Amino acid sequence: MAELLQSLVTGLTLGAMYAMVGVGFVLIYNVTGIINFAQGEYLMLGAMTAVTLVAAGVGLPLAFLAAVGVAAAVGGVVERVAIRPARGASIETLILITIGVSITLNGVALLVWGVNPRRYGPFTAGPPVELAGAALSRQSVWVFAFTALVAGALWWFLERTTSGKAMRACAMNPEAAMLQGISSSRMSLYAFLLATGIAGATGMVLVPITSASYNMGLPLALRGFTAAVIGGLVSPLGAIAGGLLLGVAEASAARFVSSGLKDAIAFAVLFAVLVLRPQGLLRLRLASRV
Amino acid sequence: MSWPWRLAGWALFVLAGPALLALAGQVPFLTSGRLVFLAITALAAVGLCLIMGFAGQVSLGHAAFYAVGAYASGILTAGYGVPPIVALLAGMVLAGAAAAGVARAVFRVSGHFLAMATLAFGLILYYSLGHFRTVTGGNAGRGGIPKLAIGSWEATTDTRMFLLCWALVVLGVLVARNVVDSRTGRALRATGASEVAAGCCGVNVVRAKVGVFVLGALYAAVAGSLYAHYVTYIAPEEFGLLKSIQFLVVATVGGLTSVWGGPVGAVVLVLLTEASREAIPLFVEGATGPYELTIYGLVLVVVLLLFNRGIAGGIAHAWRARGRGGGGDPEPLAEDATGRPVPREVAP
Amino acid sequence: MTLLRTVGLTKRFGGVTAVDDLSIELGDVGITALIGPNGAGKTTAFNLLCGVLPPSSGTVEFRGRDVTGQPPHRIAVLGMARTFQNLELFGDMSVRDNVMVGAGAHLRGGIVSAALRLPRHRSDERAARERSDAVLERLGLGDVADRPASDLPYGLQRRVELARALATDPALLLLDEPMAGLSGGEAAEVAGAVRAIGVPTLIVEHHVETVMALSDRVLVLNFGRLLADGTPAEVRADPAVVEAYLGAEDAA
Ligand SMILES: Nc1ncnc2c1ncn2[C@@H]1O[C@H](COP(=O)(O)OP(=O)(O)OP(=O)(O)O)[C@@H](O)[C@H]1O
Ligand SMILES: [Mg+2]
Repeated sequence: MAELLQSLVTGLTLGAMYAMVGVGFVLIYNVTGIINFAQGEYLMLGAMTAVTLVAAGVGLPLAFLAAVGVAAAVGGVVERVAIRPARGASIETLILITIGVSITLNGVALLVWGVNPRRYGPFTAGPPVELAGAALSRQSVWVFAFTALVAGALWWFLERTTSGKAMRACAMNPEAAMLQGISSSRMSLYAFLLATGIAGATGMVLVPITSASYNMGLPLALRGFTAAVIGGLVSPLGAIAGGLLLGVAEASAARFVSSGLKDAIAFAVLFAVLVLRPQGLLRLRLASRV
Repeated sequence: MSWPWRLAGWALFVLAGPALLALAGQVPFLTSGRLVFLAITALAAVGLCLIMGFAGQVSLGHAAFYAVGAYASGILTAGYGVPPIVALLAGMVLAGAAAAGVARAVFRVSGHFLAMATLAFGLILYYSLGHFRTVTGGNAGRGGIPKLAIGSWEATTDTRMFLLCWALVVLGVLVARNVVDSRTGRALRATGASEVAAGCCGVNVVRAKVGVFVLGALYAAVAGSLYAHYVTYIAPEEFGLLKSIQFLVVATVGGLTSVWGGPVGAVVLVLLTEASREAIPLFVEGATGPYELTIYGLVLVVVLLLFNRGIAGGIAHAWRARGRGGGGDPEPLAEDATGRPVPREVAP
Repeated sequence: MTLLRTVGLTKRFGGVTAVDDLSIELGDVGITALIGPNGAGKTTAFNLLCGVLPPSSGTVEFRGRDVTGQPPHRIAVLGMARTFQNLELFGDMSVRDNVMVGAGAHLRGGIVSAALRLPRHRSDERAARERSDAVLERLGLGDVADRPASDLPYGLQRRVELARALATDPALLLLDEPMAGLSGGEAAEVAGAVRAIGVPTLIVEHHVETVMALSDRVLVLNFGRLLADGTPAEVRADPAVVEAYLGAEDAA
């Protein structure tokens, strides 16, 4: 029982990370129709930026802001330089461009930061929290808090602010949105800024758990994408639920099936969902489509 | 193109092999060993061009079929003493069967979903290679694979191996050209441009898609076998997502819609990366790891944004336009076949 | 002889019934026009006939065979060819290659004979080429045969679609607004070509005068339902048609 609970707790922590990455995929996909293959690299940029600053003696709050700022700035520039000019190109071309962006950022990070992983300790020191026999690390609590915060802030942004509503309108019906004077170009930029900013923040929060390295992005991006697809690729809430589900499934597979096969199982899930139910497993109507 | 030009083109292509070998002695960073890898990459990329450029199917899992070829060769020769040529053929059969299975499963989805499904397949195989140790040797890999031999001829030196590989690249391009320039090839290109219209012209769209996937996989399988017999050691690392992406970059930069895309892309990228491996450490002190990724990524983005047909595709296009007085791009009445949105009537 | 028969053909998209209980019969001669206001379901009906969409209910029988639910290529090989309202050319391919895709419909040579250039491939290729060139000449496309299809002006692109359909050697041609966007002269040429081809044809067309002059029979579709069926003169005199469609046209 305790073992079951432990893998649930571990899985939820993993899942929260995947969820945050998945949300980024959903935001960009809905507004621009692009699966941003490079999504994981912004997470890496956030993590690397934060690690560098913390090592230089900067405080965590400031490092957090810098992580968000750097990731979003790079995301915005990439959107203007590489994505916008290719609008109207085929889906194949757009996929290839985001792949190109992804490996470029990867290579640059390698040149800037080298191969060795870096890290800093948990935000708050102390022994794990006991929860009915299962241990929950302090950083996991931070991850949950962060996930809840992002989910809430996103909801507020999309439902309550003018920009958020405009973005939703653009996702639901680009032509109608354009007639209302919403610029799809601006919305595309916003979506990239928002998604890459969230990715940067996520990377910063994850460092104590996963540590930061130039190649940390891709595996997380693939999980995040899986989460988004499980959630049907249309709602951020779906992606969050998908992420948590995937995390728990992966942790249980690692514990009860074989830890060596957990990656293969995660991608078998992705393959099966894509092929058998491309519309997603979860049909969540709680939150509107972004 | 009239036949003397065409013949000259092929002659140039065949001779490019020995020319590269001669160059390898002169340029410091280009060894005949690197050239073997260049030819292997080119061969796999020709297959990818068929899948992506002609049939319009995105594959991010090409390395999986490369792996099947390599592991079939490695396991059969090192484990069971099967002659390399037989193992190579067995690898082709296995990869073809695997491709047929995957294509049957994924043919319904397209675009992003197809890309991600092929990627997932590649990763499933990759992680399985590491896990099922008794068969594959696990992450530690599997050694003791013999050099390639055909009868009494053995590819013992790098030069021999490269010439053999180059001959296979030439053969591969020839077969690709034959297929593209046939009823089957037209059916493939038609399917890539508009599945609905192709179907209404009598093209069995499912068979075309599965067929091209299998054909492309055969190229990858041969490349994988060549790799296994050249390096004589295989481990999962060579067959991961980065390899799929490398094939993708080579094919795209060379030109997805040209049968020459594979070799052209391989030559350009290998020269560029080898050069950059020399140059980058001069600017960034202590650079380690696969930093040539930067070059791959930048070249890919730049090529896609500036000349979307790739190098060979761009040249072929310019050549054709030359005959039409002034050339230039077609007037934008009908969108580029792949760029057009699905018409409302047929949207799923 | 009955060439095509549908019974109770219906297609629903969510709440919209695009084609509603359509039962028609076409003989193996003449030109039949399918008309109706925008959104009446004409294109959807075509998609059901040629297998691009599966019907929600009802059956399609073509040349004495039940082809309901068959994939498009089977139906095409049986002899149904079509053009598209929004052009569906293979843009990067040459005009000749476009037409040769159609001409390949009845050939059997596969990938192996092509890869190895077996004699089979050569005879296939010759047959397809001859057939295509004949069709291209007939439609006046001989001069542009080697140009990429997307290079041609719009009017010629429409004609390439027609050529591609004809190259499949059809027993029934479905033309979805083949004259849309053409100049008067070009439209007259297409009308003349359709007449001269002599293949039984089902044609969607909005221009009433053209329909009246060109067709032997007119089917009127409204909200997916068959509203009228008769000779051009009969349909023109039908008050229901005048109200639903022709009237609106006159008023416009
Ligand atoms: N794939 C689809 N999904 C949902 N609704 C569709 C789809 N295709 C057609 N419809 C709807 O079905 C109805 C009939 O459309 P259809 O295109 O068949 O009309 P049409 O008679 O060809 O019109 P037009 O003269 O404009 O070409 C319309 O209400 C249309 O919106
Ligand atoms: Mg229509």
